[in-house]
Amino acid sequence: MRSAAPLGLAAALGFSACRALDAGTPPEPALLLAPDAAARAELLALVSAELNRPSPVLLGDGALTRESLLLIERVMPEDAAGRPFDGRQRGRPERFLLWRIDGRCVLEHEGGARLTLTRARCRAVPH
Amino acid sequence: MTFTARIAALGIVAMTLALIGCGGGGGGGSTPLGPTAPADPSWTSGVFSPPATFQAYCANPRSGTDPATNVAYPDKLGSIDWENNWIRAWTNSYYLWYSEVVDANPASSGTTDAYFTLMKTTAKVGGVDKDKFHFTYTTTAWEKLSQSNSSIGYGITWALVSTMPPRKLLVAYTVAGTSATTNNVMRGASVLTIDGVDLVNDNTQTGINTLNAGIAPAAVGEQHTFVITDTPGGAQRTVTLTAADITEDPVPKVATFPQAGGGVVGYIEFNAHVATAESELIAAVNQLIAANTTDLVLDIRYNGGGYLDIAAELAYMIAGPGVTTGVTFEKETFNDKYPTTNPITGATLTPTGFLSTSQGFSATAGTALPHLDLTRVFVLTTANTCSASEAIINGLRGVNVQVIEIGGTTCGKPYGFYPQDNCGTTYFSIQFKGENAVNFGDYSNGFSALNQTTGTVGVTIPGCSVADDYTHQLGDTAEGQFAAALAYRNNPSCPAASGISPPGVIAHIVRPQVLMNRIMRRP
Repeated sequence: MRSAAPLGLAAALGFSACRALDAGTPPEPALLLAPDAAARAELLALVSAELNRPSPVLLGDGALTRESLLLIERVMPEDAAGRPFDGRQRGRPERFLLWRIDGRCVLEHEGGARLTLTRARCRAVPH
Repeated sequence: MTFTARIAALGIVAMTLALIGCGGGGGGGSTPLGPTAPADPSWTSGVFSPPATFQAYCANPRSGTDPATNVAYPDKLGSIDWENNWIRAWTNSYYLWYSEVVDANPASSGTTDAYFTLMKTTAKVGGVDKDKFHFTYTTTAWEKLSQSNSSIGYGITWALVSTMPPRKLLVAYTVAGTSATTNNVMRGASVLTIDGVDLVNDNTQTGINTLNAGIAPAAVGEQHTFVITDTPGGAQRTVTLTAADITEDPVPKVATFPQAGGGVVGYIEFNAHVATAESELIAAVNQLIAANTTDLVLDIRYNGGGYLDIAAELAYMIAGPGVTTGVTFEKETFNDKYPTTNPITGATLTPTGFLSTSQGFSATAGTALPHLDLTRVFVLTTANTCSASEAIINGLRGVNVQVIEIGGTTCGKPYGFYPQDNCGTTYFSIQFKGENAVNFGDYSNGFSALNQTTGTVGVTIPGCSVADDYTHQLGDTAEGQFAAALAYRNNPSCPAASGISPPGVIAHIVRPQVLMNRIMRRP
């Protein structure tokens, strides 16, 4: 069963975060290459820490393996008929984009930080 | 009153929540911050103070830091009476129908849940409660609802047609490439047993727990054994389904159908206004444009809503710029105390227009949207067509696009709310409704096809009442609703109304992302 990583785990594990990666070769959209458990745990920890909310983050094992955009939406509870409590939401999802920059896998939170994945391998994909 | 009990009181169906507790009253910590509570407020009928007067005076104040805000809880020692006074004041300030609420002494109810239940309109529209959406959640549970990019399941969305024995559980639709499709489980399959338990008749708690665990698996890799029939009365077969991470496909089918009499009918199955729908809808409309589509059948029978802006984008893509430029898609209206301002955010009320560019949900923000420029659209509906989906219908009608409804009465939820915490309970009380360009938003009983005469009849619009047809796949031109739409296009007449069959019964849609128990014991 998937479980939520406690917030702050990223820092505890010493994952590196970088906020200025503009130098060097242009970033290319990327996909994770067969992420193992450690890579998925790192991804979950970084996303959880970046969002920094009390609600746990759940990521599918296939996150960022089929497309370079990771959309995180809050699970909306449903009424007894299976209809969302709030069926006219005004908010936006959290968007994370995976880039390959100078050989590194960098996760960019739109409007937030750029975070380097140290446990994962990735490959660039065409724009 | 707990959420469970409140839903039951609404006459829908009782349910329990597997992972999240609901209900009112009380919070996390119970250590009083002061030695004594202030005297309970006095009550004078019809005289109201601002809600801030009573806010955070709690029978059980929380202590420590609120994880949602990282600041200390504001709670002070109060009482249930104080909390009920806050509910009363908050209702009087912000509830959409505050003037229809019968004032009640806050001291008359021993629990916040009981008192909150009184703080709603008792008015009925067409014999149905005007307010069907009034509930609470524990704040802790509300804040801890997960954020996710996927869900756990078999790739099946279920339709629980009957929750009580004799039960009926059907497959509403499936996601390609999942355990469901690997095992050739298709829409319309009927479940007879799960892990050896009789789904139709077993009424023991142990059996019900087994059934719920099978319907909504909790972990990736879980396996459950189902005995099913693929067609009504067909041969039984056994399948073992394996739970996996499922990424929802909100627009799973797009097709075009050239018609013998001329023109091309486009079909879009649109199941949820989630973020990924934005890019999929753009692709769908581009596909229809490329095929020179002249009519659209929009299948939203299982679409309970989601992001309203995606509804505004799709409505634009259907109607095009000619009739929508500078025109309101939907505007929020609050109670008459706030004619120009959103009282919760403080912002000036500004209508949402038909959106001609993508908003950046899953497509690149600012991209010009394609458009079909249609003057009419067929929508396939059931009682599970709700909120943002109904906003598409209402918004298009507001700019004189003819909406032809084929199916059952929609759910009737032109309303919204801003959840509000007080003392560890989060309250949901209707605060605004959405109106279209011609100021219409009164469809609390939904939209009904013109020939619908049984069950709940909402605002009637052109079209035919046609039952959901589980014997055919969605997007199959022989499927009952789709077939009726195609027939109506050639000759605007209807088969005998069947949109609610039997009257009053709706299918309870069980999607994989929320883990809930839906099977109930017979009362």
